[in-house]
Amino acid sequence: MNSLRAKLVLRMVLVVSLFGLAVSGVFHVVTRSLLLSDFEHELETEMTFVTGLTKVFPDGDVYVDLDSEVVTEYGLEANRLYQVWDADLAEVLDRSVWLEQTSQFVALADEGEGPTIVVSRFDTVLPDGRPARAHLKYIDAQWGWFDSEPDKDVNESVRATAVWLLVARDRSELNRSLNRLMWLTVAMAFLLPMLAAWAVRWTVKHSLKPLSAVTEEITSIRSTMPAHRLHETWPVEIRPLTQAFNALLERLNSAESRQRRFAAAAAHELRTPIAELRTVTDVALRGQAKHDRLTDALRQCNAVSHRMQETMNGLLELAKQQSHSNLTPNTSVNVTALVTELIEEQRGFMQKRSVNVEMSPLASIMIDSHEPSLRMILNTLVSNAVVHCPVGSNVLVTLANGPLRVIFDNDAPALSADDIEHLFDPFWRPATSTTPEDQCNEQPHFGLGLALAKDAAEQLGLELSAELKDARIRFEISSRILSGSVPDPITPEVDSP
Amino acid sequence: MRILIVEDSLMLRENLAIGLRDAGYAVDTAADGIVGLELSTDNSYDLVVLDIQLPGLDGLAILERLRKQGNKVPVLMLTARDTVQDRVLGLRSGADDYLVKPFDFDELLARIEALIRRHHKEAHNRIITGAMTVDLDCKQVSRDGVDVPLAPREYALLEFLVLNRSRVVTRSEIEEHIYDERVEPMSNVVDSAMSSLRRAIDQTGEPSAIITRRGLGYQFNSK
Repeated sequence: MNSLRAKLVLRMVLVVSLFGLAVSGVFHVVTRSLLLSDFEHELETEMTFVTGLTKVFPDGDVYVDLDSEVVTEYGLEANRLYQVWDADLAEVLDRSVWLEQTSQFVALADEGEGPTIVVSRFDTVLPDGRPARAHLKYIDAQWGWFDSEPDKDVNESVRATAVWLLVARDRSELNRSLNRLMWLTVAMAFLLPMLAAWAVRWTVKHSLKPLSAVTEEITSIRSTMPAHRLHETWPVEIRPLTQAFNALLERLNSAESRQRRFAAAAAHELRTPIAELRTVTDVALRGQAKHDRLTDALRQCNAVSHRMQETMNGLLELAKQQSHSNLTPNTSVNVTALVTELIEEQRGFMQKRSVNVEMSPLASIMIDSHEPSLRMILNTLVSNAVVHCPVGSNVLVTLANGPLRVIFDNDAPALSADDIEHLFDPFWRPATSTTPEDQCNEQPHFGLGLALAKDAAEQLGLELSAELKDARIRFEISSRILSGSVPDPITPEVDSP
Repeated sequence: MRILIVEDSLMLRENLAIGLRDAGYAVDTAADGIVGLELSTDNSYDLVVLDIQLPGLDGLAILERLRKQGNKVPVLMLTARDTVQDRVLGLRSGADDYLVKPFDFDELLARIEALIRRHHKEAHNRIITGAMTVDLDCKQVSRDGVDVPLAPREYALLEFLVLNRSRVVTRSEIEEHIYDERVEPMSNVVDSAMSSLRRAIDQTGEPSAIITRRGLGYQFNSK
């Protein structure tokens, strides 16, 4: 069963029904006991009462000396009865008015089994067929003369007269009450699960309404509403879900914005080479009589095609890196030697721009890493520094270990704090660059280098960050501990030079 | 007509210059914003083709500074930014026209001609002064319906004089507008061009189409 509501309803109905049935059962048992107990208690009280009125008189006559008011209660069709036997249960000495009037007797429970009375409390049937409850007790008869003539001399055998007294009560009413109780319990046993099912279903349905509302709100979010977020006033149980969903929307929005920026940047980046191609060909065709110009145009178109290919290669490389599919096994890399080598490769360009690179320290720092990726990252940072720093300025390169840190620090008067946010965006270039394209011809760049370096660094478990302070840009690459898909953590080791 | 191209792409800059020179314009170029601002401040151009994204100083900043200096030179923004906001921003910053890369060179030429014509308050591309007709579109001159063949430099000189026919133009103005910075103008170059132009357009027995104002300069004779 995959329905949360059905599961919840079923479980709650079962629990509530079982609990209700248990309560009903207990109620039935307790109420029945109370009714029976009350009935027995009243019968006992009546036995005591009648016992006090069962008297023997000097002539040996025994009867129940009832007041005239009380006698009526034992009158015609009375619910209360009594009957007195002699000590041997051989003769009925007295009985209720109704019994006398109808010439009937109450039968003993063990009738026919002899004079031994073993049952003192028993259910019986009255002569007219009504069910009754009876108490039977062997008692000493009260002296009937004692109140009026206490000093009267009476035979000892009379004084010691003992009798069997039976007190009975019609229990039809009690039986009806017990029947009603039973039916009430049965009805509760049937109705309670149904009521519980209805109540639980209603409650669950209403309790789950916010879920439906959340679903509706989520469904109503269109792709044209990127800024839409679920509101924060949901019940506390749903709030974590909506907050998580909002966070997911935020991430999706961010990814979409990044993609949009990337697509816009890629389109923008392609505009320039296309504009160059069109202008070169337009101008060449206008002067097509000049053979040299056509040749030159062809050469330029060829150069543009190479640059466009470089751009496409960069894009493919970026896509490859983002799919984490280009890693080969790690090797031991001397970071100091690698940075030195990369700086040397830039020597000619540095001289052309009168840029000086100061590097410290020169001690070898060995790490276990993916050499081609690390080379690409460091090469991007080196060339970025020497190409974009102002002419005649200094680039400071600092290496440290434990954990590994490589810092490139140079003047960047044209950059603003806003630029730092976009430095690692694909195709991003500052609105005003310090280096015209003429000077960059030996170092063609397409705004993909830092984006590639950032991705590659993340794959290697390195953190590449940029900071702008006092008109100086500082790129720092440092090792960090990553969880998940990082191939191997980088372990810096230092060798003595 | 002298045009300044401020564009950081070497290939675009060089080819635009070649194409515009072929079309008879004198062309100067700048690879970055700072040089572009210097050139446009120091020289009198008939039009500036200005890229927005430039090293040193961006195109919008150059434009704002030019306008603050009171420089009313027509500016054609040339950029890869194609959103409405970018166009609005460019035009509100003082640009006279906006062309998005990539563009057709013929369209660029047409827009340049239109801007120059508008700058000189000409409604049409065909200017008729007396018996002479100058077609700014086709760069052709005719007299009494007969085509007058002119070399590009002579045509440029005539066009400049015709567009400024309501006033006297000085020799230095001619030097500034007809010759770009690659040519070192010398006084006999202007005289020589003027002489060649007069020979081509004047008719025997009639007053010259170009009047020399001694000590002042030259003026096109509209009669």
